[in-house]
Amino acid sequence: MRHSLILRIFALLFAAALIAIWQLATDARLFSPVFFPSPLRTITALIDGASRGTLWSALAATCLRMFYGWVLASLLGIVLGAAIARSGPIRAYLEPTLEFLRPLPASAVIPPAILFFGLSNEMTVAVIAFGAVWPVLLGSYHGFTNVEPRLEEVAAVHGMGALEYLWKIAFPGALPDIFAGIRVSLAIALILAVVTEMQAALPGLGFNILMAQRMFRSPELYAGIIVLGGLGFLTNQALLIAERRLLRWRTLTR
Amino acid sequence: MQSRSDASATTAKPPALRMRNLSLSYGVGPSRKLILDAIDLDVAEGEFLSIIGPSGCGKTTLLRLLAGLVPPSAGEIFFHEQPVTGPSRSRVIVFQDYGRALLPWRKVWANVALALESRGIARAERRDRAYALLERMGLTAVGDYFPGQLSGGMQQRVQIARALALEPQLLLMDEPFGALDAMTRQALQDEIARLALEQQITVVFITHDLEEAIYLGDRVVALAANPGRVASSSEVDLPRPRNQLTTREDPRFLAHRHRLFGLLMDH
Repeated sequence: MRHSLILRIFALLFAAALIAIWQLATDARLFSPVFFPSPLRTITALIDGASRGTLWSALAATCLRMFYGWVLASLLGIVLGAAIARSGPIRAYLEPTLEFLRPLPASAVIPPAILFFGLSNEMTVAVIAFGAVWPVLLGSYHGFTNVEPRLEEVAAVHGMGALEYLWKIAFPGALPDIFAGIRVSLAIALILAVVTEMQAALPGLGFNILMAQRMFRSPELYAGIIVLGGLGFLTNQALLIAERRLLRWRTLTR
Repeated sequence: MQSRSDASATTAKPPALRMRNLSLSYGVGPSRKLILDAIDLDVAEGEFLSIIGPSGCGKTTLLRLLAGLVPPSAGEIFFHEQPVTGPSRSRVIVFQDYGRALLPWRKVWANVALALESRGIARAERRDRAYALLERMGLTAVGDYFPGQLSGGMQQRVQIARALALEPQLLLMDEPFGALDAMTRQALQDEIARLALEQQITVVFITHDLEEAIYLGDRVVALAANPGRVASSSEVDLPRPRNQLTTREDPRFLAHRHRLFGLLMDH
């Protein structure tokens, strides 16, 4: 308890030290303030954006994009992973195609996605889902293939049907692996939300950052980056808390 | 070697379980391996049958056949005159590896409720009925724990409670106490003997522990290995309820022990 408190204090001190160095470097004019603002100016820009509301609308747009894409990727990944794991024919049919698609950089599918969906939110959701589906798919596949064989027999003795078995035995058993994939996917979803906004000039934090860069408004540029970092940090923390609650049985041992 | 007709051993009532010419082999052609060779056994209703044998004699395989988890290569099993073709809630198996047989993400009471769910018992009733069973196994205090938080003996009790929740007619136990320490094992032996007597459940109990087989069984069947076959079958004429001290000191108990020990050594 005390130990972890000390660690936390040091973690905060480290972050504070970095900001201090940043402030000192800008005070010393090591970089031109046009390209590299001081922390103070950055925070002022942040507060300014928050009070004018522009920050909130951009944040909301990026959050929604990321959320829809990530949810779609997660559902798709869980279902596909389960299907491939549980069915030999499905695996045989899908595996070569998936192995071809998997290494494709998600940014490479932005142009065809724009042709299909236009410069729209649907396009960004499709691209995010494409890029973020793989970790969930792999996690789900791994989880659904490694179900305790003994539990399959328990299911048989209890006369469970296929769906009941999937819901009561296989899915809860695969959940730890699914969660591992879902967390990686969340990070990818944030990256792709920003990239697609920049490519398609759709409103959001990514687009704001790009505009700030083009207009040499470096405080706004860095303010946007800080918000993005905070967004990634908080969403990951929220997912960790959800995971800890749902998988409580794994940490509670004798 | 002693061999006798099992049908004559019990009353006129038809046996609960009949095995006829039951064989199992793996592989084909020259690599074919015979695991169980023409097992003929009857188990009377309400009987507690212990099966012992050296490792590799196919006793676990025999139990899995009875549970319907594996189909036989030849021969037939009849349970109350009906051929066994697959698993059934009326023939429930209790596994030795309790740690893998429980759902680790479900609390203890919910593990028992799994059996109630499969019997179609209404959600509102499940918790109370699960707790009633847990009370019988002395587990009330840990109903809201996860299995991983319990000792091995308690986890095995949970598995037995779940098996009882199915209200089976036949309880198949595969070395259920093999992984437990001596004290826990004795306590669970007495509990299962009491439950079997109270509920009039037919039990087939696999063990490699000679004394456990005699202590629990109405009858002890010894299997010989390579291939697995019935080597002997003998009634245990010890009064019930049995007692860990006096029963084990009874001259009849010791006589059984001597005879079966010699038999297992021969094979």
